Amino acid sequence: MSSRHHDADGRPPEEQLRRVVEQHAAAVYRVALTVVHDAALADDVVQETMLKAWRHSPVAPGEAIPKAWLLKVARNTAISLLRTRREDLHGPETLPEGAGGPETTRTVEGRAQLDELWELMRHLDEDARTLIVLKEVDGLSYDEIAATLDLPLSTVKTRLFRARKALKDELKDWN
Amino acid sequence: MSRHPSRQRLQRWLDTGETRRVDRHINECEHCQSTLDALTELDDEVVADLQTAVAPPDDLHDRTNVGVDGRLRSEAATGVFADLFLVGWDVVHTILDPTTDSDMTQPDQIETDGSIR
Repeated sequence: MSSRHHDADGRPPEEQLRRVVEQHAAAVYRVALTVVHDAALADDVVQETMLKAWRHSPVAPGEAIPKAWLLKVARNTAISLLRTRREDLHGPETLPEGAGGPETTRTVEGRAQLDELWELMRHLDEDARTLIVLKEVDGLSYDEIAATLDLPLSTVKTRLFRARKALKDELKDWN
Repeated sequence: MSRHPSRQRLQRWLDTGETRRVDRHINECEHCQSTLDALTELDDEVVADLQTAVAPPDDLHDRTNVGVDGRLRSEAATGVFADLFLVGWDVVHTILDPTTDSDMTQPDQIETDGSIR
């Protein structure tokens, strides 16, 4: 995108912001949901993250915002939001209504299975959940995860192995 | 540790986290990392369920765009309001400030050419 597409302050134009939303909102939502466990709060985190991307983009106007940077902002925003609202949250035992995306017409049985899987995920610590979602759902590389979580590469790998092992153990106990 | 730990030992490392020696080896050994990757691989079905469990709602993009636009507009309006408030405050301050030597009892008469009488 050429510089004529940017506003006087050099911030990304609305068009670019919309593109960021289109490309990354889903991944930001997943990270947020992994931390806050609440669809409405996850929505707030997505909006807040996009506003931060608008105001504090780490790259020159017109350049693509790195996904890892955006997800790091999302995670920090979610943790911060959760801290301020922790007293109000009672920890929903099931996935929020609306979660499940395009497959909202799932059967009751299917929905219950998702709720149970999510409940097992909640038994893991936040780090482990985020690692699993970033790797297994978003398909991030180890390098990208390391950049997102500010961790050394080897730490990402070993923690991910342990996180997946912990989830497998939970699944085994559940079955 | 020059030799690779056995699968059993790696499994034990997963279970208990022992030992620092194995830790160090795994951190540096891609072969053992691949073994651990295979040992902890999640079933496709579980991954598919996870993907569905954390999938965003269909209207996420629209909701986000509307929400962000609203926030930006609201902030812009707040900025205008703050500017108006500051202008208003300057006027009040001028009127109330006893050190101001202009005679505020009689409004200035502005001529049609813009000059002040």
